[in-house]
Amino acid sequence: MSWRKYLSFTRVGLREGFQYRANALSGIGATLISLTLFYFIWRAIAASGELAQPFSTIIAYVALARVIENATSADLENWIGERVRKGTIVNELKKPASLKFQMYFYQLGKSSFKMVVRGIPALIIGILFLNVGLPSISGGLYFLISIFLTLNLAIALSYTTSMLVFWTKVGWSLRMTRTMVAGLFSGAMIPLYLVPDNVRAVFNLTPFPSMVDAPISIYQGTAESVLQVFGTQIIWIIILAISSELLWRKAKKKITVQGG
Amino acid sequence: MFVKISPAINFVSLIRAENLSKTFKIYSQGEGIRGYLKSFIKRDYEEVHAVEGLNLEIDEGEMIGYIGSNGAGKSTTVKMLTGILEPSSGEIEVDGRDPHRHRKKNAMNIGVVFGQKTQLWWDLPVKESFRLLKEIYEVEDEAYNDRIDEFVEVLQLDEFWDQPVRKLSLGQKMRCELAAAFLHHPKIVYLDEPTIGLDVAVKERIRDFIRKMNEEKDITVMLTTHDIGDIEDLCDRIVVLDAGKKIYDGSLDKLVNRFSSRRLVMQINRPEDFDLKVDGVKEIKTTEEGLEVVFDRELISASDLMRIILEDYDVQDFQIREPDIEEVVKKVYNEGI
Repeated sequence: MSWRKYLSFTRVGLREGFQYRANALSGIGATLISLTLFYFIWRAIAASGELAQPFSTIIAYVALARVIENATSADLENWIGERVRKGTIVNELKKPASLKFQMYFYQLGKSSFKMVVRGIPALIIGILFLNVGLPSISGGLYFLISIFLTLNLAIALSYTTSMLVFWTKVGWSLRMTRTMVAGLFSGAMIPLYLVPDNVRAVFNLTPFPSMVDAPISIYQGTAESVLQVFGTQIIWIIILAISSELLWRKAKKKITVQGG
Repeated sequence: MFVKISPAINFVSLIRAENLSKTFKIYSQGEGIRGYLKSFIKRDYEEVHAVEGLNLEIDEGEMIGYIGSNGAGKSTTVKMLTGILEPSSGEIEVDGRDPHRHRKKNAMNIGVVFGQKTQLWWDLPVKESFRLLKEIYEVEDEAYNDRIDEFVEVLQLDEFWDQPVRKLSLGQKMRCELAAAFLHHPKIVYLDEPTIGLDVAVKERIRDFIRKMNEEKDITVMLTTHDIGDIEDLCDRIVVLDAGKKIYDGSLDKLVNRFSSRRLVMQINRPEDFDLKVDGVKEIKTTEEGLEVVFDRELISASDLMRIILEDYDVQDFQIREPDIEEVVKKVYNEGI
């Protein structure tokens, strides 16, 4: 595998992002709206006075969850789904590069763009208005590493579910399901420390807590062991990579390539 | 004792397919709401033999036309030869490799255009797509610059070189696709309906380009098409596929001769009295243009036929019509061989 070859896919992903300035700007708007929404919802819940944590702690968690989600989004289901449906996936399959690495490096480019235009604004808003606070220098550095691992995890997860497109022929429903499940289990919707212990034990059997809850714990300095967090993230990346490879071997035989 | 070994001589064809078959399972959807519901719950699968027992050998430098009606299995064959689809049975060897098992290695050696399925990046300028292809196919800087200069000139890409692909017309896109397929000077280029939906001028330019690449760079070209002009202009050899089976493999001339005869069209006085009993005359009919005599040129030459007719009849005007390739191909599709 030549790195230059694959990095050019990253460049294309990046360039595609820059192509749509309006899209990037509207992303910042969407972040503002969703943060405002979360702010009022959690303030209302906190006002009922039954939460284990004060409102300021919860809103910081929620804001950080948004930062991480914005910075590590991946959408290969729609991308592959469209191509399988229209049969244009032949154009990826005729190239002297494996589909998984084409997808990975392309998504890496797209996500890097989103990390900058959607992740950083959310972080600034969080620090200025939502009590997110600044991490220690080492905490910030570890946070960046774990964000990068989360991105890999998100891409691996998205790629794994997108393999199912070869059976379903439709990508968006897979993506909806994946983001819903991930949102619920990862901490993106509800801070995981508010979830009862026995339910959390079940969540912890999935890769999702490693995607949002774990990096937050690193940022806030509450993680027991940074290395353990990284290790868990890496193990899940490997598990998903293997699963997607196994699915791909089956999917390959399902390719009928529609049209002509 | 000297033993002379000459490994340069290659007796094996560049592309070889043996007893190649591809079977798809498709499910048939019922009719009406009841049918839809039924097929939603339980699907009846049907087996479709897209390609059946195909034998094919193509040598280096050949330019072959692969024709057949819609759904005859042309694209399926191309997808198997390029390694995208795995054959259900049979064997393929392209430049000594199994293209499916060694898909990536094989891909470095080939260029492919799937008509109507653009491989260029929709939102990026044309030149960006080419830069990516340069990296993917590991083309050296110097070679890349030379080739791009050549392609831009021959295919006239300069007017839209900086434009995003989504703004291009079909003809412009197809010119880019062609250039993209030949960029890395592959050994083989598969073109799946490269001229579909294009105007005459663009078709002409594309054909010139393909011919140039084949002649100058010795690139083997396999072309599937419905366009008779493509075949006439480009292909020395054609393979005709019908319902997944090969029904003809040979030169275009031979096919045409086999199928159609020449026709003699003439105006004579009192055509109703015309009668001719000569070997080689297959049919006599009256058309709008006059009296038409269909004859087999293997059995009788046009001059002999004309001499016989002139002995008995007063001919005012006559024309000899060459076989019409389009007719032949239509006939082959409809009736087989």
